[in-house]
Amino acid sequence: MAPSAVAELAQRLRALPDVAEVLTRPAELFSYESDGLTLERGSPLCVAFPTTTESVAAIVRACNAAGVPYVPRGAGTGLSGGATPVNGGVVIECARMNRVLEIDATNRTATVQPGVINEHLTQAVRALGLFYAPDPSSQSACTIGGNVAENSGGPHTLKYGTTSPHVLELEVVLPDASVVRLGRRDGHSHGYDLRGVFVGSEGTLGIVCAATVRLVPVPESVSTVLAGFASLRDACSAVSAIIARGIVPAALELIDDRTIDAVEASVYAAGYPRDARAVLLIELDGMAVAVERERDRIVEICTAGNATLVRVARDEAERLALWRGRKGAFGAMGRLAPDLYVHDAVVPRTKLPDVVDAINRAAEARGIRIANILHAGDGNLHPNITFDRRDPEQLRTIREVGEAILRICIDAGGVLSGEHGIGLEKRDYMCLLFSEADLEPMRWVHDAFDPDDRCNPGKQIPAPRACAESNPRHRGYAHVDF
Amino acid sequence: MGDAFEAIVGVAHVERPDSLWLAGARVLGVVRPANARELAACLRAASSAGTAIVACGAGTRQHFGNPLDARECVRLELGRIDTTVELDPDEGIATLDAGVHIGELAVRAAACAKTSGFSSLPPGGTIGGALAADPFTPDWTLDRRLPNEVLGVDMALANGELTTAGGRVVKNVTGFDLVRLYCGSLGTLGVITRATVRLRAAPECERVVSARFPSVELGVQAFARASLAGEPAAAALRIDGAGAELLCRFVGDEKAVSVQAARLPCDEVSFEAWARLRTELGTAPTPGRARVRVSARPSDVARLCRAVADVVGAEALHSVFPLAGSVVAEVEDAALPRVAAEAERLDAVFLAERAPGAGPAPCDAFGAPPSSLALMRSVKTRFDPRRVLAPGRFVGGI
Repeated sequence: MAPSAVAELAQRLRALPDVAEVLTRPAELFSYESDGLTLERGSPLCVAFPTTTESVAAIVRACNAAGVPYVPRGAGTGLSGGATPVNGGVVIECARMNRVLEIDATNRTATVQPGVINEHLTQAVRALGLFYAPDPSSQSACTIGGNVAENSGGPHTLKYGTTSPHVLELEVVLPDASVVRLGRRDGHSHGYDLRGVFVGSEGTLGIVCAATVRLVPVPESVSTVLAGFASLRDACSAVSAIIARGIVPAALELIDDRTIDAVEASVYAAGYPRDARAVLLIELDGMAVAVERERDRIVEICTAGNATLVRVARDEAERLALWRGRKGAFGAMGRLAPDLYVHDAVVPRTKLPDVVDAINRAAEARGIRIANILHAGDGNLHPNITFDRRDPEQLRTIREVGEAILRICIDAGGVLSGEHGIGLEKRDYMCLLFSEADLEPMRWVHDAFDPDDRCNPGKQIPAPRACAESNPRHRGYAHVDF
Repeated sequence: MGDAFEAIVGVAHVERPDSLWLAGARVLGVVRPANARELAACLRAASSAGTAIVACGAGTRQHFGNPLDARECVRLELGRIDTTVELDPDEGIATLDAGVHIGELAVRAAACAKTSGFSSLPPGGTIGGALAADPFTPDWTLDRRLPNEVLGVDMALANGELTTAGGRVVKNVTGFDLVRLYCGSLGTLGVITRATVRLRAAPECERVVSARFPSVELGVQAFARASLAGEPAAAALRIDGAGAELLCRFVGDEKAVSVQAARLPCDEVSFEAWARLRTELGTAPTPGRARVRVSARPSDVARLCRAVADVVGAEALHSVFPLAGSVVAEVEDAALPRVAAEAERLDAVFLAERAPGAGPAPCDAFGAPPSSLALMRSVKTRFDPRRVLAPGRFVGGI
């Protein structure tokens, strides 16, 4: 787009009611070239800051008139490149749509604008004995709108689920700039569950301008257990044993020794045992009598599973310290290298020991050492790869390791993402999991919402016929060796 | 047309009834494919010929939805597609063909101390039928809904393709969540042939407690107060001539259930009382009668109750679900438009179930369509361009 046309578009956006700001200078645009996945970058034409649903619709209308794509963005904490403007266009930054519109304690719902920060919502309702359950590690920065776009999870997804089951109704600006409501605030929607499809569509079907979400009563009792193990395999086996016994903790996290070292050397130090090869962080919540009983069963399972240490947090301060280490782990890895590639995949929980071994072997064969954090109870792995993006050889190697991880997980019956989404990062790997016939219905849904492909184009779903070359099923073999 | 189906499934598996009607359309043939491939081929043949298709599991939910927007149809029965592919208690999943009966899943799951999200549904129904209809049960709450328990589905599309959505793992954000789109779509986007669902640990304890109130309103008020002390997994007020009986169902750890149940001013009763309510809501209405459900927020339930009673008389009220925000009444067919209009006025959701084979519908079974109807039509058009999959049966005549 010619500079004069960009200037004209920016001018038109600035003139719209309720658009707080429009950024156009290169230094200002730099921060919007990527989200948390810094491997991929793109330059936006400009960044617009709407404050109301009407102003979002007006920006979309202006983009359509100018024939430019647009990319919705929350806090930019996403880890799959979903908010990266690879095709240029206008970034519609929703961070200033940050009002809690309604709290309905009786019906346990809250209606918020998309820029409300996840943790702020819980803070707003805590005094009412309620909380918002989805808790991504970035919850002190990420927004509800971004969570809806990515169907975000977090450690407590094991018991409470990802974002989708917590979203009742969405007010959405569609790609034709019309405003529609998907779902209902009472949860009794009828017709196709377009709300369910929209959650996790990574900003490709429209822009969330308000969300009514479900709130959950603060549990009567919470207990957190830390268990240390001398081997990663023992820790994974303990996870499988807990799941097999039918216990559903609120959270069941695994942290390996490399992560422990990073955390314990950082401001997030939590008192994790530095001689352990891995620790499990297990949280139980609910009625006091039930929590006490399940905690005893967990302690018993871990002890029988060769735990070298089993410690129950004695008070709230110790519990919070244990979680500070877990939630700060990604930040702590900043000590290891300038850049961090946080991978995300899911495997059947019973396959965790073998898969973690295979991933570590695949990385070590390429000279890479991985730091693992797992939402182990869900089978959700986060192998973290530290690197220096200024070194092209490292960049090439970590992409290779990333692909190897995905192939190992899919071969084990897993999927590409548990909570970070597909975005740019994994779009071209969708064909490893899905056939062309599987992807076609996704394209039909996309075309029903966005026939002109203007809303966050190039994300999540690969182009037609891209699968013919990369899908193992198309190439006639089902098992991939590593 | 019948010849095309016979060529796919074999002569022995096609029946040509003389006088069989389904959702207001004459049934040209009953076709029973042996597997998903045959089923998909049947859909392709129907699309080519422009013949309306209605998929059936056990046929227990034929009272759902609007009449077919077609004079004739083919009934596609999934009873032969009934393999339990996998039941893995350690992983907590089961993969089942659409024709597997809910009762069979319950028995197999119970054998390894597990249960599933289907447990509140009548055992005679099938997995595929339940997923297509996503029916309301007395156990329905905002966080305990059938689609939340489904991890992946295989679906046969109108174009004859077999596709997979979701997976076999308990957490998954890989691409659009088509599982949620397919669940509850009443067979209008395709036919579910297989599903992978969660298995959960069977509750150690399940208890139902009860208390009687002279009126529904007093029962709703008492429940609102009492539930603050100990919230049950589900609750219902069963209405009769003498007032209302509050039933609360608790599940979980034995000690926790005892503590919670003791907080409510109720007496323990047999689980039969709850099972009876499930059966009543899972059975088709008798001819000439309709079952109507009006729903909004839990705090609206008393208001909804009064409004429905004003329209059709208090004696028509059947039950009230204070956690779900739903009121169920049994009314004459002719009263449906008035209840639908009242629901629309109150911004509540209306859903009517009528006896199978009932005459022309007095109003849309789903009441006033949502504002996203145009978008829904656009989705339907892409999945089923010849409009052969249960045409007209869904919301807004989709």
